[in-house]
Amino acid sequence: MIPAAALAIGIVVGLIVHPTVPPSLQPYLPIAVVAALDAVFGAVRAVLDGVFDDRVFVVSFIANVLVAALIVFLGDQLGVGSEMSTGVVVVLSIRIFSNAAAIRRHVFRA
Amino acid sequence: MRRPDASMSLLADLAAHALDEGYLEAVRRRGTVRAPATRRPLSRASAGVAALALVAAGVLFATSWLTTRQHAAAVARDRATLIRNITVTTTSIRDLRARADQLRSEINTWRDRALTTSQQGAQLSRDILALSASVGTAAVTGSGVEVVLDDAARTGNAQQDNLGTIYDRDLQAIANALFASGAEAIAINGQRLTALTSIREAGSAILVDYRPIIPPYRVDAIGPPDLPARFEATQTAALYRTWQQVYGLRFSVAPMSTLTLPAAGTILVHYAKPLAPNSVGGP
Repeated sequence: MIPAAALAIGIVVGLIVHPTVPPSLQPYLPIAVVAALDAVFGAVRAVLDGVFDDRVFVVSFIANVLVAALIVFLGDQLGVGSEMSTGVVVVLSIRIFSNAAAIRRHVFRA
Repeated sequence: MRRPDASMSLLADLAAHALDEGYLEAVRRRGTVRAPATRRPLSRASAGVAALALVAAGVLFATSWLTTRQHAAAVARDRATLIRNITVTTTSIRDLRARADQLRSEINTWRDRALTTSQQGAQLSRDILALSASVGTAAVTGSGVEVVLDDAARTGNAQQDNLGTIYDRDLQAIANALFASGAEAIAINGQRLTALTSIREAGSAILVDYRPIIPPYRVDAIGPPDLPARFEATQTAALYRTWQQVYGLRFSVAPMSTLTLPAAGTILVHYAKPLAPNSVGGP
């Protein structure tokens, strides 16, 4: 209950405050979003698996977002920025799908 | 032992280790796995930290959503601006053309008035009138023929559609055949042809005198009474009759008792130069 409320509060705060993303950071926003989605899905699955650990969640959330952005930044500097973002999105999407499948097995027992 | 799918281990690893390794390591450290979906009351502080991280995730999602929407709105705005610019420019071109036509007719009026003052001038005026019909500087009216061309119905088969499409060279062929049959003045979709008018293709549009025209293409020609018959007798007309049957493109020829063709839009004078100011009113 509290986690869902926290997420909802975050979305509402974001909609109201509407932080402007500096143009130089905009390419990393989609990557950060996918990384955050991955962390959230991973946490839900961990809760259902009974292995949730708040410290791991917080650290993995922050680290994933930063590392994903950093990888794409490095790729940008080396001239393979768009390929890197595609790669990061593919890898994280596969993880999100696997975790979503695990959540589905827990919820529907199927 | 080597796994059969070892070369695809990246994908297998991704699917097998979808859950962050950190969770399992934490369990190993703690040494307990709680039953699925049961809730160990988290300590107040750590629950707060996790909630904060979730708030941050929410802000991130909302920001990304808004940024994307803003971007789409900006693109739509740019597009609307471009469309408006095109409309405004098109209108202003039309106005300028109307003004040019008006000025041209004023010049003609003044010229005729100036020329009627002398015997020589009156002769010149008659010559100009006679020539202007074939040059294309004056609107003409008379009997003639109307040739209408249009693309065949689309079939979806690119090759067949290509064969059933009217191109610039088709209009050139028809115009040439009409001139060869004795036509004195020709207009395509209301654009009068002069000796220097181009009929050409730009992209998929046909331009006559650099103005785009859209199908159906109406080629109006004014000429002697036997013009329709002479045109029908040409090889070009026979060819298009055949193509009409084979490819299904539209080709119709109709004699017209009254046709009115406008003056040409663009007349460039290449060789004539204005007299020097002191010789105005000249010899």
